[in-house]
Amino acid sequence: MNNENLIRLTGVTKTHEGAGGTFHALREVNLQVKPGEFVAIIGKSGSGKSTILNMLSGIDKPTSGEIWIGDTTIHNMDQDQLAKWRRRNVGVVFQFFQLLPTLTILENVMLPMDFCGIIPARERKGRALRLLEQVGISEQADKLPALLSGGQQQRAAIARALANDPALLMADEPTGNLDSHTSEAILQLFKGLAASGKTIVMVTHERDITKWVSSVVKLADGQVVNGSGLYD
Amino acid sequence: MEVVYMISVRWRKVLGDLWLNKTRTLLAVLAIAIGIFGVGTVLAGYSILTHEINANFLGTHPASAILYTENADDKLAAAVESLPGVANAEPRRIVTARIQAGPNEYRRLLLFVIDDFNNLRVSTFKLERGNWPPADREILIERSALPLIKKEIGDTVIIQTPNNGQDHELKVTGIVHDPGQSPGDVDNIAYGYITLNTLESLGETRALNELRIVVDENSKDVTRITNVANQVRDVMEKRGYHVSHVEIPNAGKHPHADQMDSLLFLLEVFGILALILSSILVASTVSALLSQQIRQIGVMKVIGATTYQIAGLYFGSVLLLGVSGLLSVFLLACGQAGHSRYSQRKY
Repeated sequence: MNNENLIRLTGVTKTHEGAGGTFHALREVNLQVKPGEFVAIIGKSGSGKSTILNMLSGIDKPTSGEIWIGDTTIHNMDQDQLAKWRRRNVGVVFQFFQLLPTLTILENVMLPMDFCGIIPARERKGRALRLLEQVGISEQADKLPALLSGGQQQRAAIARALANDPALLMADEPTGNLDSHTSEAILQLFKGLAASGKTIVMVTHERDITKWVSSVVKLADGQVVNGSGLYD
Repeated sequence: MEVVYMISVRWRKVLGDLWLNKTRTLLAVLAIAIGIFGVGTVLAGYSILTHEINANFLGTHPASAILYTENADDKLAAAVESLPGVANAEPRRIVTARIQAGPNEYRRLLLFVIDDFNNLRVSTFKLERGNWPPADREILIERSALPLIKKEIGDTVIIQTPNNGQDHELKVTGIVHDPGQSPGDVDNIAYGYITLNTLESLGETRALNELRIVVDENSKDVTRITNVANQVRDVMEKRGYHVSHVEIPNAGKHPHADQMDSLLFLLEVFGILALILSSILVASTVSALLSQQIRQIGVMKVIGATTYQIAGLYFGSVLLLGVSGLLSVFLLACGQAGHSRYSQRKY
């Protein structure tokens, strides 16, 4: 086992059968990510960015190829195994925050702990409050999501992703719905999390992403174009 | 200090969602309540109408057959009772009269003339309050007629009999309950119970013209009742009594049994309709709830919920609606119970 890389994709291909024939979302993608890395996946829409993210978080399965996360192969797990694996290992952040509207911010952060049962019940509220403090919105804890700004909602969503202390964070255009000033604050937050040991894979359209992330993967037509060059 | 939540966060979400759509939640609870109430009413109606009223009615030893003659008496009754197949026989007379209910206002009155109030054996009834038996020129009134004639114990009633049409005054000395009669306030008819002496004082001939018999077994078997009644008629005619005709009342059935059947049918239809409609309403409410929450279900799965956990949440939420509906129908039923008790008294 090569434990140096936390994430290893080897020959991952994903095809969809459609009316217009076979569509290749991903072709023979190979990718390695080390623990604590902050990786940006960039590329035009339809290039396969979100597909990779869905593979890594176990929401989608490859047609062929292997996906290793640490010592675990997730490409051959069934739905139930994936759900149980995901809740311990992956936190997901969405573009549109996706906080549950009828729960307070604090309750939104506690919800994954409630579903997973890893954190003992009496420690959940304290942990959720500490996470909200970490993302800088502890004073909003008892408000409903609709009362918060977009940036605050995304911070809450990040706190929720960290609820069960996963090693891996997946973010799908987390700044895509935020103004540039707020985007920078969110990216700063991710950078800090990476520095504290979380491995982060982020799909993004942000320009000048290199000053935040440790590496960039560029996709075009379902293939990795290169590992570093940007916007060429 | 850390506080453990009394209700876990996921159930707070369920409650929050129900609260957010208050109108829809209320509608669903109401629909369930109406459905349960409809079916409950039908079931209660069945149990009251089929069981309790029948038991009440059969408890009066209703006549299996009535033989009409000129002058039935106790001697005849005793002779007939000794015949095989006859459990009881009792002479009676029913006079259709009028009773004054107000100035120039008369109601139909069925006068039951009874030879011996202390030895009722067929078509019995019970004293509810007042004196038993009535003395001469006294009358007992069936309770369902009270709202009709607006009289009470101690009052004097004015009665006209067909023979001479004159006003006669009788004193009300008791109120009885006769489950064998259809309710007087429904049929707009009063029932009175008097002695032979009183009958004579009203200008009628002193005679009982019916012999009512009860068969000893199979009281609902019309063929058997007919056989026994024919046998009794033969014996009566041998003894010189002329039997003008024999009546076999609808065996073992309350006089309002047919109305009850129609009522039951209506109840049944409305109950089933209410149940179907409320089921449709609940089903559409639940499917609206689910389709509104597809995105949230997806999010919950991504943050770690298993399919079972999510199914549990929505089942729980439907269960909560059901229990709320049940509770509200329980409160409704408590109110209804009082009314039913009143209605039941009439039969």
